[in-house]
Amino acid sequence: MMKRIGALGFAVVLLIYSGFVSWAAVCGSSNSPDGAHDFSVCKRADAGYSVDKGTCVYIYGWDQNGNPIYKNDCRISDRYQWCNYICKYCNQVNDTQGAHPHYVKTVHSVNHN
Amino acid sequence: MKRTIFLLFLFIFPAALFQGCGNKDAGNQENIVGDQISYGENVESSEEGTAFGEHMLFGELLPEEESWRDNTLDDYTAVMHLPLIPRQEEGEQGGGMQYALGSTCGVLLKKHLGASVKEAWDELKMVTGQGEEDSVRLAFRQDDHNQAWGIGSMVGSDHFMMLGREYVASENEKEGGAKYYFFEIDEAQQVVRTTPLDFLPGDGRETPDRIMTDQSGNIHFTTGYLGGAPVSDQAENYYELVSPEGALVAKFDYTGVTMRLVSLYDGRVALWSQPADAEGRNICSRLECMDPATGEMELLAEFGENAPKALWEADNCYYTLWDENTLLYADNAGLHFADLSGNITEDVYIWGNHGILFSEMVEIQIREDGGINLIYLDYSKSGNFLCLEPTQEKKEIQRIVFAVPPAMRNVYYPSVAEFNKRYPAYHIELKTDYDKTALLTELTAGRGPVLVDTMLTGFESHKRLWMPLEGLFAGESWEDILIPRAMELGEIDGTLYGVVSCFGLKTVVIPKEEPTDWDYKTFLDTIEADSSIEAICNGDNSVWFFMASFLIHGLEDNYLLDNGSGTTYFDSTEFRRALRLGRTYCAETGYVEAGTPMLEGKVFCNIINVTRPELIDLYRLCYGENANYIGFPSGDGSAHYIYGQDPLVVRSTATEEEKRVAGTFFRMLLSKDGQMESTKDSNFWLSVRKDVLEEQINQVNENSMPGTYGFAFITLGDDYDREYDARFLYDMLEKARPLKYFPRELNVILMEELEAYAAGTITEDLLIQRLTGRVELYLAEQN
Ligand SMILES: [Zn+2]
Ligand SMILES: [Zn+2]
Ligand SMILES: [Zn+2]
Repeated sequence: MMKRIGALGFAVVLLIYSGFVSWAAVCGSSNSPDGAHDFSVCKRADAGYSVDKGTCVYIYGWDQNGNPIYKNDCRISDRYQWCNYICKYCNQVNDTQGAHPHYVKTVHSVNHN
Repeated sequence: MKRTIFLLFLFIFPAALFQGCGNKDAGNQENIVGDQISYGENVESSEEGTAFGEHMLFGELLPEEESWRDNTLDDYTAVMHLPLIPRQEEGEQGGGMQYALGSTCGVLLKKHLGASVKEAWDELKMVTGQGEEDSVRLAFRQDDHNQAWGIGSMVGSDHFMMLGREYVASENEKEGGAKYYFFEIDEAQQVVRTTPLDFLPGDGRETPDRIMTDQSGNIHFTTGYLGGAPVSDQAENYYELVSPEGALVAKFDYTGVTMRLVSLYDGRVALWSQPADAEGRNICSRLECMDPATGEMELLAEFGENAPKALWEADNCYYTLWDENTLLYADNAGLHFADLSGNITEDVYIWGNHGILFSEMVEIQIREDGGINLIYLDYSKSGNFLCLEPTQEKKEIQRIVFAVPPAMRNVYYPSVAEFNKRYPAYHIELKTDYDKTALLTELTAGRGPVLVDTMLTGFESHKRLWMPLEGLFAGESWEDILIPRAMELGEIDGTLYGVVSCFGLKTVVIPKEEPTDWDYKTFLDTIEADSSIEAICNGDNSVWFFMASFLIHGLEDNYLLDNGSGTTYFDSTEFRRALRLGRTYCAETGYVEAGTPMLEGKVFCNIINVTRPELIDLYRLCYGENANYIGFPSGDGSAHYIYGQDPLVVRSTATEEEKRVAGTFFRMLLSKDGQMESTKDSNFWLSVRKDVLEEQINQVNENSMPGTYGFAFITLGDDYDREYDARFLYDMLEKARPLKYFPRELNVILMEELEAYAAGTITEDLLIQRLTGRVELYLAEQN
């Protein structure tokens, strides 16, 4: 028997996209080899967002007695970017599926190892 | 011979790439890691390369200049550009670091932790405007005492102010704790004076953080937490000023506000601050300077909502005063002069013109002679020292235009930047504003960009516009490094015309355990036997899409015709059956979503694309671990397909020099570091390099957000399985065949007739009659 859905959260989001949606199928560009749109390209929106992951405490050095000395001036945040799928041949933005976020990177505000 | 030439590019470039530049004896070599080939062998082989004739130009490297120089595209030119990175100690974790600028150098203090305090040491790494590099083990540090805990610039000098900290044990709580002091070191790292900071509390909550000494000798500093307990709550943040004599002159509370110390044109030091609202959004930025005589703060500049965002909203804002009325500021584009309202009046230095992958400014100092010293962090957060001077005379530069769709720009940008930095006599210009029709017109006339991303133009249908890339992949050993199946996607009729840097895989999954293999006939049988379905697959729900996706894999493998004999099978029970199934299940125009409808039994199968390893986890979560990835039906059983991101090509009329540029650039793009940089963009798929593909799989983690058209977005969290991903990917890659289509003209015929049939304008018999006539005529014309 197949394991249908791995995560509960996943089941919820998956259902949002169930069903049949109307869509203009033919791509106007002569580059499309089979005449269909190919929504495999992400077009970045200017907008993005950060999620604060709190303070990062790191060992800055050892003191003269061999005890670790910490600094806590670093904040960790996850950066995300919004984008839309566009047809790589005709650049049409896909409107059946709204903007989606991409995880870009996790940033430490201070440079430390 | 050919073998060595190829190895040259695949190994040497990655080694030296993205390491910054400078003169060769300055020690770039020591940073080289990995299994590169020694320099001597390479020089030899590249000379041999010229013997291969004209086409081998693609295999030939551009000559590198003896010593590094910057181009003169901007008003300022870099006279020095060196990486400022600490020594890499194996297995080292943690350890603070801080940068500072001298009037002729940039330095980095790095605390190396080692396994114990006895092995710990403080490194002062230095690079100078003359191109000298040095790494000093701070000698005033005796064993575990006299360590340096911070460093700051002393404006206009090559001395530095450092922070000392000693722990004093005492019965009396008030007297015990940490004692702080500043100590100034000279060019030879000798301590020239010490300033005790007895007014600071000993619990670490008010420890000097950023330090800068102005030209009058006042020591400015901000404070934060540095102490023995790993506390995460906010420290108190002050801006404080100590007189040259060591007396505390002023102290201002800036708790929770981002602060930087910046030096001004006249040797003063100002406080730059950026307050944020409760949600952490930056609301404005200010530059203030304290008058030591009055103890008052004077506002020099302030930016908020009406000013460019780079001056107040961005996290990496940095600006100072160039003169009383002029701002010198850095943003992601470059360094600019602006008026005090923030309007740019002049560009000083544009990062992209000089191959700089800028992420953040650490410090800028305006020199008395009009030069600018600065330290910036690049994409990998490594420090770099840059020494700018006004451009004296503009030198000639060979420009090469590279036409790319806007979406693909960031895939190529890091390699283009690196190329431009290494070869200052050339400049590859990424142009993203091409109109597709105008571009084709130009190319047809033998003009236009030298390098083209064929996403803009189409690839195979314009073969005569492209130059064969013979020599670029000559030899056989490249197959150890690149994935042959993927590179072959850049071939037209067996000749390499395009460079593919990434690829995807395509297959079909069904919600049943059986069958596990099918050809065209068994595929149609299985659909027919399924009574519960409402649609055949996800995506466009049309008869044409059904035929194009499942029954056509190019002229040599399809269910509709025999290319060899020029005959068609339209007038057959097999085609009529396929047509009937299409009409039954694809009659409505509409779009069928992937996932749920199939799992509910309403859709026969799903087509899926693997363009990033994390998508395999998405499919695993959606379809189950043991889902039946049966593949597409084909003439000889199930098939998975491989397809490239559109190949990069060279205009057929490119000059010999342009060919050399293109060849050198392609090698950088395909080098390990070039590919690793590209993977950061979501439009870069699976790398054609075996080692980078492996890395991509290893980078799948809890933060990964697999996303592809037709699926909802999720973050994987704990639900990732790299071993599963690797097994799935390599297994499919091994079996995959190149994805092929019918020629465009043939597709147009089929599309037109099937659309008319689906719309009810023509009958099945008329459809078959017309298809047979038109398609057989087309085949006869071609053969
Ligand atoms: Zn399209
Ligand atoms: Zn995207
Ligand atoms: Zn951190």
